[in-house]
Amino acid sequence: MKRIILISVAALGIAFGAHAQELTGTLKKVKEANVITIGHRETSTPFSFLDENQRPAGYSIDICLAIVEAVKRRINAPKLQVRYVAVNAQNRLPLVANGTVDMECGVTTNNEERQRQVGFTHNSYITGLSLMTRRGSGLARLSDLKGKAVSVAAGSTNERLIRRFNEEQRLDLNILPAKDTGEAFLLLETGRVDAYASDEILLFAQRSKSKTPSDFDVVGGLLSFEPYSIVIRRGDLDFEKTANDALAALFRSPEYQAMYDKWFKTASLNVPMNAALRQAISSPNNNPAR
Amino acid sequence: MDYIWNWGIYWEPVAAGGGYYWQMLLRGLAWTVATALCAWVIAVALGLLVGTARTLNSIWFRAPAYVYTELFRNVPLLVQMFFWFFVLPELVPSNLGHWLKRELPMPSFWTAVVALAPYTSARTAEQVRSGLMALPKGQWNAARALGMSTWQMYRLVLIPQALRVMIPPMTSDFMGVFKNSSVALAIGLVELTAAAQQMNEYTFQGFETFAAATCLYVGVAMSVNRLMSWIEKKTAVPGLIAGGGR
Repeated sequence: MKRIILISVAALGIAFGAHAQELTGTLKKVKEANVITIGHRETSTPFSFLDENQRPAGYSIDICLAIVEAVKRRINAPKLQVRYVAVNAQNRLPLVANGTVDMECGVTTNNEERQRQVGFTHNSYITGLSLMTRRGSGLARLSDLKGKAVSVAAGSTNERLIRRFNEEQRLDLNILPAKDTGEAFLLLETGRVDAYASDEILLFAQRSKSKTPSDFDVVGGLLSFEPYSIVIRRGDLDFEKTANDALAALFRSPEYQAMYDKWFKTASLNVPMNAALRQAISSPNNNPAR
Repeated sequence: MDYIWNWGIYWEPVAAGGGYYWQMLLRGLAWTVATALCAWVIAVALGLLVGTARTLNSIWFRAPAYVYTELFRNVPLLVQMFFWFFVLPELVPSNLGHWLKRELPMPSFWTAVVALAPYTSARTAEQVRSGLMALPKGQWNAARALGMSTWQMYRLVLIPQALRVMIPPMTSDFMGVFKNSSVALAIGLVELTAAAQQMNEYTFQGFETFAAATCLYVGVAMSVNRLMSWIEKKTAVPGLIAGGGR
């Protein structure tokens, strides 16, 4: 009897003692500085870009602001300031790893290799590799591109995938790497290539920005599973939990559909929620790309 | 800082296939050297012609040479590359345009050479001109007095001396053409800088990648430096303007 009481008291003591108010990692850094830094892209419409007032806006930014609200509640800092830092494809991960940026809110694909350097929250958007061709060219799927020229953004996950498909399916493609998405599209517009391979949503966004959107079609379906996610520091469990809880709550709430429509169902861009995204929203996870 | 070092990254296979990372970097280096050397040879040839033309008496030579030099010096190299790659095929007749866009083998390489050569030649032309202007008037007068034609005067007296004067500034330009070739990554040429960027995108080992690229560029530049130094010693004529001193 005495032993049972002793053990119960010890267990209760541990339970209460372990309720540490001690903040760690990003939450500690943010609380001490009273500022949270968000890394954003400048031209990745509709996820993360500068609007006409040169302020960061977009779907990923809205996702991050929802996380910021949750952080404010968690660390009890209602006057927490938000600072924005512009990043690009080359420096986004190093800037998160070294602490300059607390969250990168852009179009970063969540994959296993990157998970060695940084962490990812729940996936916030699902897309996949797809193709854009000229209307009337008769090219409707990957196998139609046998022997043709294809442009990709140099060094991206898409380039790797296209090269792999090229080898596996013996497509004999002429792959032209371009400096960025805008230039890869320019190669298609000027007729230097027959198709442009990139993430499906980026193809839609690029097409909506062109002068003659009706000249181009997005074809081929989703050729891969590319989840976009918010980048945070690796191993920061406290911050990751705060962020993931905020995202799970957001995805469950009725405001989520309105947020999606705000960025994806506009006059220029009309992309219905794809099945993969619907799946990810109903059961939030941070599974890496396949 | 949370960066995870991995100096063995060079010996890992490339994620997209095609050998190891050190091979990817060396392939990039090969394209850099090929582009730079082709462009340099053309640039020196053009530079000699244009620079000489600017020193001649006739306005029919001087004016076009002046326009050429100013045009290619004042427009940024990147803009020139975009012009040759994207704009030119649209301006020429559509057959030629189509051929340029689709049939031309290694379009990025040839466009990079064609863009880099005039840009560099504008600089070498100015150096040729300075080299010629640096020669004392006595040389010009003596050559004329001996009854040489203009062609003979330049070929036998002026250009050989001007070339010896020009070697140090030419060396900077020669090293510069290797560095400027990195601009070709904007038109899709996978030279050393582009290969390093690709390696960085695949591996996220930025420090190791760009350290290797830096060492390779410095190695190339130093080799060029040594080569020009050797040329300078070999061609020096004791007592001649440029041959005097060390």
